[in-house]
Amino acid sequence: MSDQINAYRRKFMAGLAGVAAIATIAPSIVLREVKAKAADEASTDSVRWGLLIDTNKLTESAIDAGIEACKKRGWGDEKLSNDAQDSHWIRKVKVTDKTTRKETILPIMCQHCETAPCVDVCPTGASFKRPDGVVLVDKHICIGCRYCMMACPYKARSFVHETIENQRPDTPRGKGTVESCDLCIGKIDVGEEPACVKVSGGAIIFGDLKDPESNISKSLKEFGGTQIRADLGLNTGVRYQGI
Amino acid sequence: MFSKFLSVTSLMLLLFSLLGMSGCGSEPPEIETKIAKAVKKFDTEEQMIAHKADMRKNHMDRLLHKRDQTMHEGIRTPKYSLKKCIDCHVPAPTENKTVTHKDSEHFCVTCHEYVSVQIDCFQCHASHPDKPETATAMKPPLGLNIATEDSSTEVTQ
Repeated sequence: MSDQINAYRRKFMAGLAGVAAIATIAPSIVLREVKAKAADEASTDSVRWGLLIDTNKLTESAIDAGIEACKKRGWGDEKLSNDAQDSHWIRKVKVTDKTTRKETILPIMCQHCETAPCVDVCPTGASFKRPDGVVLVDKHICIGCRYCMMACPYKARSFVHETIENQRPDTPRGKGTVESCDLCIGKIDVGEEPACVKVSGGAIIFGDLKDPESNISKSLKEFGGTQIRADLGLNTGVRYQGI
Repeated sequence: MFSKFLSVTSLMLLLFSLLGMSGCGSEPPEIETKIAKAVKKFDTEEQMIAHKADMRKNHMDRLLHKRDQTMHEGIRTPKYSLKKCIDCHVPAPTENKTVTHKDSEHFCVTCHEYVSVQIDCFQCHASHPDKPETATAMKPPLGLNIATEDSSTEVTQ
C-alpha cells in the first residue's frame, strides 16, 4: 500500500517538476514583447509602458533631435507666448555634481507616475492615467485651472496661452488647456515607438515594464535605473541610467 | 351666411397651400446642394444611404462616444473617428487652396452655419487632412530625416 502511495507521490511530484520546468523555460517563448493591442481593444493594465534613458549614451545632439522630433508632433511654434509661457513636452536640464563636477544633461518629460499627483489634484477628472500607465490630459474636460502644473514635481506640464492654428491631425491642442508628453500615445497604440526614442540612437528604450522579457525590463534588471525624486514614491514610468 | 362660407373656404385654401409648400417636394433643400461631396465612395448605394441617414441624426452622439473611447481606452478604429470623417469629407490641401473650418464650404461648417450651431471641435482638432506629401513624409519610421521633413510639415491654412 505504501509503495503504491509512494509511486503515486513520485508521479505527482514528477508532474509538478514538469510544470515548474515549463514555467521557467516558457516565458521566453510564451511572453513576447507586447507590441500593440488590437485596434478595437481597450488598453488594459496587463502592460505598463515606460522609458529607460541612458544618460551616458544619450548625447546632447540626440536630445535636441528628440525635442525636434517631438515638436514635429505639433508644439513649439507659439508666436505670442514668452519663454515662460511656451509649451515644453520635453525640457533639457543640465545638472552638475558638486563634488565630481560631472555634467549630465537630462531630457525631462512627463514621468508617467503610477500615483500621479496631477491626477490627484485635477478637479474635473481631465488629468487621468490610462490602464497601461500613460498619464494624459483629456482636453475635452480640462478647464485650464493649472492645479496639475503646480502639483507636478517634474514641471512636466504646460498651459497653452494662445489660440493655436494648424494643429496636426494626431495631436489636437488648443488655448486654455494643459498638455504634456503623452508618450506618443497614438503611435504606441498602433505598435510604433515614441518619436524621441526613434532618434535617440538606442539611448532611450521604450517598452513594457511589466514584461520581464522586454528589453527595458532586462536592462533595468541588469543595470538598474534611477527615478528622479524617488523620495516622493511616485513609481515613475520613466527611469534614468547614469545619474 | 355666404361670407362665412367664403371665409371658411379661403381659410382652407390657405391651409392647403401652406401644407403643399412645407411638404416634402421633389426639389432637395437648398442646403443639400451646397454641402461638399465626400472624397471616398461607398461600395454600394445602400451603405451610403444608411450612413447618411444615421449620421445626419446621430453624428454628434457617435462622435462623442468615440471621443471617450479613443481618449480613455485607446480604441483607434476608423469608424466614427473625427480624423477619418475629416479625411473623407474635407479635401486635402493643395498648392492653391486649403479648405478649413473658417470657410463656409467646409463640410461641417456648411450645415452648422445654416442651423446656427457653434461647435468648438476645430479650436483644437485639425479641420482638414494633412498635406499629402506630409503624410507620406511622416510614414517612414526613421525619424532622423529632419531636414527633409522640415519643409513639408508647414500646413498652411
